[in-house]
This record gives sequence, C-alpha cells and structure tokens, in this order.
Amino acid sequence: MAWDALWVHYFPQFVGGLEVTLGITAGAFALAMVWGLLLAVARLSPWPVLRGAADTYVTVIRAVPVLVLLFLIYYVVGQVGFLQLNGFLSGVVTLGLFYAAIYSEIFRGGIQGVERGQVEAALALGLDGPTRLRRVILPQAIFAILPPGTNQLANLIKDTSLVMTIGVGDLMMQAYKAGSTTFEYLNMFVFAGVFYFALYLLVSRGIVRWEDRVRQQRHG
Amino acid sequence: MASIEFRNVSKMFGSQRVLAPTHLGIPNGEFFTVVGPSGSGKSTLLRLIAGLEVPSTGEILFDGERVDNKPAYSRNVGMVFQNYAIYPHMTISQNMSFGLEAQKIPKAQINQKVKEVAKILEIDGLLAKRPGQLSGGQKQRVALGRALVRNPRVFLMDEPLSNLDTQLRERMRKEIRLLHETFQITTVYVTHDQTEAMTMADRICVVNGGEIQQIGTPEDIYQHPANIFVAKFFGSPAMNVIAGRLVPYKETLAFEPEHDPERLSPLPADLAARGREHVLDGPVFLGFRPEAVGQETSGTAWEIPFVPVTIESLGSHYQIHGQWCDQPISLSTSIRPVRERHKVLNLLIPWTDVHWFYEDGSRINFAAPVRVRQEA
Repeated sequence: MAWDALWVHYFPQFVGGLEVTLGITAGAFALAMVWGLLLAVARLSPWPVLRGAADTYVTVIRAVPVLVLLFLIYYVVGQVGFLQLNGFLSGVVTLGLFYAAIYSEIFRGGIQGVERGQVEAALALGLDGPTRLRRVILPQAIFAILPPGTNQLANLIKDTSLVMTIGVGDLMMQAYKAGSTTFEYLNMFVFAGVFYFALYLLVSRGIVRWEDRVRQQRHG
Repeated sequence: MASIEFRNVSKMFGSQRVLAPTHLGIPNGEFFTVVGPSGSGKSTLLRLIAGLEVPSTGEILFDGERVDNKPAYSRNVGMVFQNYAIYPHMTISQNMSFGLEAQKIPKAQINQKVKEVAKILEIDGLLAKRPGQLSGGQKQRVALGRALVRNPRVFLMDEPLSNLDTQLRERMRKEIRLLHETFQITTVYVTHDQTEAMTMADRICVVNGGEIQQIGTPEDIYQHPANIFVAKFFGSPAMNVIAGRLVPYKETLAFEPEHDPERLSPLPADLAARGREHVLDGPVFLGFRPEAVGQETSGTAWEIPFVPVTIESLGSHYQIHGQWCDQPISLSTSIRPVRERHKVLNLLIPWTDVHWFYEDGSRINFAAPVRVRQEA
C-alpha cells in the first residue's frame, strides 16, 4: 500500500488513539498538579510527620519505574473489589501519581524561590496560609515552575505510550495494530511519532506564548 | 492604634541569643525608632512585634492584650519592608487593596479607601500601573499605602529608606513623619542610620548585641548617652573618647590620660569633689564631641595638645582629623584652622561639655547616687 493511501486509510484510527492519549494526559496532568502541589506544601510543612510522609512518598515513587507502577495499579490495585479500575483509569492514576512526585519537586523549588519578604508581607497584610499560597506565592512561583514543568509535561505525553501494555487503545496502540495488520511497522510508528511531535509542539508553544503574555501583562 | 509592651521578651535561635530579656513600653501614637548596627537585634525586635518571629520567653501586649500567642495575620499590623515587597503580579491598586480584600470588606469601600490613601501619598495617578514601571520612591509610597489602607493598630517599618538615594531619603523622612502626624498610628521604625533616628523619632531605642543600651528622646541620647557605645554611635564624626584615670593632684584630682601619662589635667573643684565621690581614684573614660572644641569657655577648660593631620571641607564646616600623641582625635568647626598642618594646636574643651564614663563604659551620672563598686 502506498504511503499516502496508508495515511488516509489509518488516519481516523490514529485520531481515535490521539483522543485517548490526550484524555490520559489531561487526567494524569490534573491529578499530578493537584497531588504534586499538596505534596510540595507537605514537604515544606513545619510538622515533621507530614514532611517525612511526603518525602518518603516522593523517594519511593521516583525510584520505581513507571511500567512497574502501571502493572501494580492495573493488575493488583485495580482488581480490588470496590476499585475495579479499567485500563484508561489505571493509566491516568499511575501517571498522575508518578508525575505528582516529580511536580512536587518543581513546585517546592518554585515556592522556595519566592522572596521571603513577599511571604512575610502577606502575613503582615493579614492573609492566612491558603490565601498566601493562592494569591501571593504561586503567581510568583509560576515563572520558576513553567520551564521544568513544560519539560515534564512533554515526558508525561510520551509516557502515555506505556498504557498500550495493558491494552489501552491510545496512539501507540493504534500504530501497533495498524503495523501488525499491514506489516508497515516503520511507517506506522513514524506516523505515531509525527502525532506525538505535533502534540508536543502545540503544548510547548502554547505554554511559551501564555508565559510571554503573562510576563507582558505584569511588567507592562 | 495601640500601645506596645514587652515583658521579659527574649529570642534565641538555637543556642544563639539574638535578643536578651527585654522590658519595653511604647505609648499609643508614638513614633519609636529602633537603631543599632547590623546584627544588633533591632530587626528581630520588630519581627517579634509583627509576629514573624515567636519569642523564646516573655509576653508581647498591644493595649494590654497579649498578642505573642496570635499569628501574624491576626495582629492587624501594617509593615513596610526594606525591599518594599510589592507584588509584581498585581497592579498598584490591587497591591493596596489586597489586605482589605482578605478582610472581606465591600468592594466600594475598598476602592474609596485606596483612592483616599493614594491621594495623600500622591500616587493616585499610578493605580493602574504595575510595580515594574515604578521608581524606587514610588514603590516606597505604594508599600506605605498598602500598609496604611488597613488602618493598622501598629505601623512597623524595617529600614524602609535604605534603598533610596540621599535626596529622596531626606524627602521621604519628612513625608513619613508627616504621615505619622496625620494618622497618629503607633510606629516602630527600625534603622541603622543615626540621622534618620535623630530627625524622625519621638523616642529612640539604641540596641547593640541583642541588648537595649538606652531609650530616650533624641536630645537625651545625644546629650546624655548611657554608655560609650551610645556616645560613639551618635554624631559624625564620633565622640572622642580618652582612656585614663583620676589621680590625686595637689588639693584636688587630675585626669591622667593612658596614652600620655605625663600630662595631668587638674579638675575644677566642684568636678573633683563629685569625681572623688563617684570614681574613687579609679580608671575612667572622658569623652567630648568634635564640635565641643574651640567654643567660648565661660568656666575652666580641659586643655589638650592636638596635631592636625587631615582637614576636610564640608562647605558649612570643617572636619579636622588629627592626633594627641597616638590617640586619634576628630574636630568639627566652622573656622578653618589657620595654622599649618602637623603643628601642635592647643585645644580647649569646656569641662561642662565633657562626658564621663566608668571603666565598664557606662555613664557616670554625677547627679545620681554614688554607684557601689564591687570588689574583684
């Protein structure tokens, strides 16, 4: 089958796979951001127990390969009676929990990078902890968080390809299926690569443009 | 507005004592300046009032009510920082209204208050701008405004003028003082600049090594320093301090300088009598301000030899730095010395302008009861 014919024929399947990839990325990213922020705050907490628990979580999670974590969650945790996680949700939870550990480090660095005087000024202005974090610390930490955060988002997009190992019909799975049908493995994986690259480009450029706009707004 | 009281307040960082047990009272509406060198504990004192540090011992009270057990955000203090700490992601208007929003005050009321304060501070034209577009002086006003809009009980300032140039600093000194007269908020102002302290304060608290050295009006501090540290900290050039001892001399006492023991300076009879009472022929330090030299002396004067080394013209007056033997001496006078440099001049210092200090550096107060000397 000619290259362009292959492209036209399998394009709808690739788009379907892309939707799954995007769904897992979005879900895992949302979970990683929320859980990562909570972990970062816990790791900066004055309470040793909370700090210790968060540190342990981050150390353990970062030491375990994502694939091992995925299998643990899908084949062990996901089969516990009341949970019953399907492949898609297992992918979201695994990547969310794994990247939360990574994002907690990024958040922690960003938060610690905010000038101490800014936090103290917020205290003196009568702001409680959550308000300080939301209104003063995070808006200033954002510029320190964005570059490494964008890199990790790119890694997260790429790591979604691991869910094919538990039978989820993501972009990689569609490429594999099409390859095994046509034996055009090279072409199919190149297609998949093009999709991943386009996705990365869109996300990273979007973030850079948003960052520039925010910078301009802030500094006139 | 509130009075502030420290009851036996101290602060330790690990095993290091940053503030010794301190008793302190600041009445309602006073402009109270805390001054001292770097690392003296003055900023710690301010941070304890703000609630940014927790005291190791003691109690802090606002209007008789304990606040040391309250978090900073519930003390209702207004604080201005050395680096302004204005939020770069907010407009000036948002910066100023931020604290009020946290108090859940209606929007219309907030806008009204922000406009009022901005007008007083002459920054009403900057409200839509961002901090990145402002000069140092404008940022300083925004920081002041942000603290003022909240009607704080206590106004705290941590070296707020140290990042400004000299002219702007002078202008802001006057403006802050005017603001205080307008709002009458109890103000604690930390600085290492003696000029700032002298020109702005109702009372000055001098801190060194974590201990309060003296509290008093600017005049008190300058004219009756509690010890050598305070004496030398205020005034530029610093007070000249000569080590020596009182020794019997004929019918009276004389001062024998440590660096020139051959040169005895007899004391006038009344001074000798008081000196004998207080010092009992022991080691003392005598101090005199650079400007005390060369004035008309109605009574007797202390005569000392002086060799000028450098003469600095400051326009309105001259500063002359020189020596008496190996002892450096500085003078300040409006008359340019006509003699050549390195020629010996005879200086006359009125005994009434001489400050006396015990061996440990504390002031000898001739009007006070005699201090009991402890045997070694």
